[in-house]
Amino acid sequence: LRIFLKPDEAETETGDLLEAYRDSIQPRRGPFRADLWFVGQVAGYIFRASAINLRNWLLTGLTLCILTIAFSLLRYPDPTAGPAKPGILVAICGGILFYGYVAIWRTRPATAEDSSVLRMGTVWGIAIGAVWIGSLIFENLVVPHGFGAKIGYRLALVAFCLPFVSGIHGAMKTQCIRGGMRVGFWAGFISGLIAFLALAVIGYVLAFVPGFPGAEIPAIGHAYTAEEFQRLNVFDALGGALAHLFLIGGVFGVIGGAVGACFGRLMIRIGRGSNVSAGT
Amino acid sequence: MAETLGTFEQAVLLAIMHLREDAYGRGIMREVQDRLKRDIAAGAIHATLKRLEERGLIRSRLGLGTPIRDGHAKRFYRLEAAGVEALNDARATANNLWRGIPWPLKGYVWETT
Repeated sequence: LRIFLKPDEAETETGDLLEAYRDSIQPRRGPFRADLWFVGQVAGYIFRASAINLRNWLLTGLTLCILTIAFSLLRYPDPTAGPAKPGILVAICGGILFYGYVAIWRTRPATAEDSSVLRMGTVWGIAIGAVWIGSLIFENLVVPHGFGAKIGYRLALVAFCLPFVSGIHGAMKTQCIRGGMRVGFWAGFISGLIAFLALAVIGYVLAFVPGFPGAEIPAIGHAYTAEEFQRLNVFDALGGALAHLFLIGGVFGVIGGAVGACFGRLMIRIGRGSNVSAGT
Repeated sequence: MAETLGTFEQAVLLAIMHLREDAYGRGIMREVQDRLKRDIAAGAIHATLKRLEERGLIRSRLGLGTPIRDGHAKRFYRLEAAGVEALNDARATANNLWRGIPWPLKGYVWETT
């Protein structure tokens, strides 16, 4: 609390939490569950403090994305990739503008449901992003290659499934399919941003620290220059990072969220149906 | 027309009004939980208090700590005139909405199968 709140707020709010813990929570729930309650309350404070800055975090992430894309394309253009098609560049710019609009205008919740959706989406997005980071590290940097790749693929599978779960969670919490889709979108957006930045960093590590198993080799059996090696790896990582940002994050987040939301809605209906039949 | 208040904000303001001189974080939290009949996160109460203070509906001052709080200071809250006006408006709006409708509602549920 001292890290996330102002000193006077941390002082009074720590006191309130301690008082609640001692005067009612611990006597009612016992020491272990009271400790869990305390940790949960502190986590809630931290989340609220971070959620206020969600817009700034997203805009900072998007700015880093733009700088990474621009720097990588200008400094390390891959000669084997052919000329960049204008359509692709327009799509990338459009996607970033859309994300910028969402980050600026959609991060201020107007209703309790907006706030709940944003909170769930952020938590799921960070969780999915963390799983993607694990997967990317295992697939690209961990030695031996076979062992790392196996864990990496399994983590990727988990990360692919999680937007679906986030959609179920969102639909069950908000009681509507749209709520689940929105949770899936936020989860996809935030996890895509995290995965983009992680993969961009990994791409530069692969390009400039030789010896990692995930590095691409320009021409097997032929001589190649260090510059060719760097260009290929930076460009390859950039392609993967963009796929994470727009396709795996944005598009699949919404699709996974929507499918999960329908599933969640169905579960609610089945639950209601069984309640009705149990009642009659 | 004064500030528009949400249900949770009304609960917090009413708790402050009810507790009077004893309206500090923990007390308000307990009172709001009693009024809304559900568990409330301490962070949600404090975030709302902070927002209401920024909107000029309440004001606060620091008080002394007690042993149960390990000596941590309490922050006491009281309503400002704008807060009272906002509560009056919220009540008047609710009364207007319900004018002419008997309560509790009976026979208005449209059964679906």
